[in-house]
Amino acid sequence: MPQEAFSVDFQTFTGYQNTYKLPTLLDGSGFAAYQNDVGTNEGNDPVYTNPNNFGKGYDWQHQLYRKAALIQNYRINLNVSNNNTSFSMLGSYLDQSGIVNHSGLKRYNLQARLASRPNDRMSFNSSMVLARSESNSVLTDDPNGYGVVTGAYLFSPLLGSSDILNYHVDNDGLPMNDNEGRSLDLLSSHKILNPIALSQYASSFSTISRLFWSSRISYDITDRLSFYSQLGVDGIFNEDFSYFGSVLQPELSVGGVGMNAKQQSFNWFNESYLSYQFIQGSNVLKAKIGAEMQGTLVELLSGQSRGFDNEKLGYYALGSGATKTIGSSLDEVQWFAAMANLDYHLKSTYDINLILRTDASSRFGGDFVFLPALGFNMDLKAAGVLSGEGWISGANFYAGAGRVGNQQIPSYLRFSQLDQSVFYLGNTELKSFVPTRIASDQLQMEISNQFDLGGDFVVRNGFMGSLEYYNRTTTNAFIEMPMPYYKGVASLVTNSGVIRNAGIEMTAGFKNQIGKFDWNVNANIAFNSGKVISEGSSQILYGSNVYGMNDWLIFDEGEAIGAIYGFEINGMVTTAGTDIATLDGEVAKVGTVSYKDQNEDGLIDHSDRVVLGSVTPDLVYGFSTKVSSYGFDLSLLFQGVAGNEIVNFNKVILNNINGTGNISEEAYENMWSATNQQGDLPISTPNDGKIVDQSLVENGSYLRLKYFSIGYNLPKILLEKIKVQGINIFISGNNIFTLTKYSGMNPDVSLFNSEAQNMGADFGGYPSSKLWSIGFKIGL
Amino acid sequence: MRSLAYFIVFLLICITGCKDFLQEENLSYLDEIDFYKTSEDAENAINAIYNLLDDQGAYGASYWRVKGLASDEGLYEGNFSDIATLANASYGSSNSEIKNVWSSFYAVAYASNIVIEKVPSIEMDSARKVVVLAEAKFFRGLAYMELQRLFNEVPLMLDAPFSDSETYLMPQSNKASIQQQVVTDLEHAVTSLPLSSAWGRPNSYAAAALLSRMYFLNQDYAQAKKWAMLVINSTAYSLESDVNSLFKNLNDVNNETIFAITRSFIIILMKIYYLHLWVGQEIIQSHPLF
Repeated sequence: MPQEAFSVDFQTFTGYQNTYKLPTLLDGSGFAAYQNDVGTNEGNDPVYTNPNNFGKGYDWQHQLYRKAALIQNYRINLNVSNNNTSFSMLGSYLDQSGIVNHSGLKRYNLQARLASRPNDRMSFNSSMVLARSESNSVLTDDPNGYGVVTGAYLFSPLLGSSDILNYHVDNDGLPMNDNEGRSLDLLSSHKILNPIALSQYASSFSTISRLFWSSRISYDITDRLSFYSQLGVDGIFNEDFSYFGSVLQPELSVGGVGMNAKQQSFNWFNESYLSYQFIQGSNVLKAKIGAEMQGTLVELLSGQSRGFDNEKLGYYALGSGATKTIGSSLDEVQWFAAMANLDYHLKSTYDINLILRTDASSRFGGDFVFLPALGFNMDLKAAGVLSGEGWISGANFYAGAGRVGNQQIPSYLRFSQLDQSVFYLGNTELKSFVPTRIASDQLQMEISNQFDLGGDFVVRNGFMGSLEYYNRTTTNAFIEMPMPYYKGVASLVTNSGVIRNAGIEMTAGFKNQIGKFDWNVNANIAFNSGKVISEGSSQILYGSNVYGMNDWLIFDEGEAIGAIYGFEINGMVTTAGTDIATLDGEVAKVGTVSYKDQNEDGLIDHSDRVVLGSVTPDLVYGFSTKVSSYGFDLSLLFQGVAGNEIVNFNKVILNNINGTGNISEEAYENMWSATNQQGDLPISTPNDGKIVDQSLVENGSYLRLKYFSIGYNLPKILLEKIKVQGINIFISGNNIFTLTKYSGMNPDVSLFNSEAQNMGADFGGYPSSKLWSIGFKIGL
Repeated sequence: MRSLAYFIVFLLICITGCKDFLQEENLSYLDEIDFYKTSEDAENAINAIYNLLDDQGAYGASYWRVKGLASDEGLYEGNFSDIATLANASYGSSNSEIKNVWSSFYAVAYASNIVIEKVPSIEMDSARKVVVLAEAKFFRGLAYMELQRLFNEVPLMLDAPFSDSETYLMPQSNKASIQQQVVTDLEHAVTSLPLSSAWGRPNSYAAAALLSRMYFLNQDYAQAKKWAMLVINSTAYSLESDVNSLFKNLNDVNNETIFAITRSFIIILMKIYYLHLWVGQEIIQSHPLF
């Protein structure tokens, strides 16, 4: 326990962020010229007599993203301790504007920690977190392409901020109307909204408040027997408010939609055990027996209201809407494990550890599964294998094997589920119930068998490192198995997959002083190979809907996890009417893409798809270094991944050269035409370009300078004068530099929070940003 | 040592008394065990079929595309390959329009099977129960009639499994046994459905007309005539004098309409094109414990 001590430090920084990379789109005159080209390709007269008249037009991206989004952060840290108690507290406040206009985040955080040893037998630790975040967000990651990022790609630069919908204009910039006087939408099947208006009038505000508390107590009953218990509770309160203004739906007389949803979740956790220790010379035997249990409860209440006469109040006044809908739900899960643990430390050299545990979860009907594990560790120097006199001063070797269980699936899958709909038969409103899910009554906890082998070492000059090989096989992985449709439901969750993850993890570090420089360097690299050993009965296509494309991932025997499934490209069609098979069965047109007919049946259909890559990386690595000297310190943190592919769905919009929306400059230059036969972008595509093929799959490897900082510590002489322990001034940057071949804005992407269905898809996601900041830290 | 003994006892009590703690009960959705008990449940179950008939995959859209484009009735000038291939007969086995028709009609058959299996044991007005079961048989007959005409030999599923352990693989049935089942179902519907019914619901003549159509397309003209005469002789329906009026929107319901799938006007007006679900989903997905 530390002596009496008291310290306070205060840190603040302020900075600005901007976008890391934006695609270059066509400007006003470029877009008009492009529209002309598309028209003439179809045999029509050019629409615009002089495209250059439009000049630069409206730069949607420029208007949507802030030049410099400010960020400020304040943090205060307090530590107090005396002979047997220490207490620390941390408070922080963050105010961050988003790089997209009308978005931002505020975060408040208070943490406290108490550690105490009231007497020789007892020790007590407690920690608490009180946190709240409030964020204003804009619509991004929308799978239907309605979000602000995709809207900025598509919206015509010939229009301006007061134009809500995307339509054709004529030479004078006036809307072109159809025969019935309605404006001709540029995207006829799909109304894209002005992204600026969307960011302003489709507002969404959400808050998360959290109260977390945990305590542990350890009590020595005798000098060999002790009791330990830990209890934690976590309450999380989410609120989501959104309002979609009626100005965004000009031709519907619905009058705005407001939504207010609240989710309350409560999680508690307890671990208790008795521990017995028996020492004989340099041999120590420790036995533990105990239990772990956890419960989680989530309640959701949401209300939606439409048709507001007066939209001033929005989502706090849902009662004034004309049509109201309410929903609510409850989700509970409980989990219990009993365990016994035996640890034998022999001659201070060998360590053998045996764990016997049995787990059960309410998600599986309370059936217990047995999960044993065995580990072995050898101190090589103490064992005499290593002399310790040489270069390597210490090393350990370890090996282990065991089983772990996983219960992470939605609750209640063991029951069938009936969903209600309300519909009209003629003019009569009727209710109906139909099963949308049948019971997975055979479902069991997923069990993985794992073994690992490794070692770590310390080298004389301050080097250290470790190496580990692991192999984990899950024999009954949860799979959403597709069902034949005559069963009434499309799929059923079962335990029928077998997957294996194997890999090597290495770390290396160096900590020493060389001359006047203090070095602290760390590196880590992890290779992983995840493969499907068996997929149940037949290959499973998954990958949820992105812009009308689904089933773009495949789970199949022998393939990597997260395998991308799509068409391979065979080049461009240069001569018409040949016997090239096409996706729509029509004669191949010159200037279109031809796909490889994999099964050579003369048709191009979904059975001609192949694996085009995998969204999971083969390799993840990081490198950090801190060097300090003469009061200056420099820190760098690099992070990288390699061997993964990203499906860049944004290209379906940016490269869609059929005149219906704006495209990137690069796409216009690559447009295939009789005069530009080197171009590789087709002038027309079936399905509106919504096909997952090779052109969307890009190498997602990247190396990024995630964090760097240069700081200066004021010299002691100055500090003593002001009676302060330390002052540090620093400049830092986040994501300043990224090395990648990926053309999109977010190499570290995943749509929808990296769920398995959508991992590796980039479509209109909130853009990655760079941050520069300056700050200081004072310690008292 | 005593504390160790107490602790072990505590653990044993935990493990054995744990069963309650480790049970789950879904309080947000009904499941099959709680449902199909009252007369409302019976109505809700039969109503499901009407909703499914109007689905995009069934009479809502795909059915007409598949049949209209494969024959000479329709022309497609759009861009979607799954629809274009229907017109030039170059579709593969994974064509989404065809898949939608298959899955939607099987959904109708499944919903019908549920009613046929579950409603008999419900305590409700016996006359109404007869009609509900007859409607279900009508729709099962309709579904398998359409499936057989489009896909020829299809699995004839007459059960409604509700759990993984009840499901099993089914082989294809031959044309004769499918048609025999359709005949049994529709004949039952003819005798048990009322002679006149609410708008959108089938009546006895609808079942007879459907049977007649099936026999006609199967070239069994004697049977086709028999069932057709039943409808004709009833004088409940008559032919329109002006054939051209049959193709006019304003005359979509007329004397010749024996049975129609209805579509609600009100639902189309309510379509708004961003989703409130977006925000609801954000909550569920941002939850750190899941």
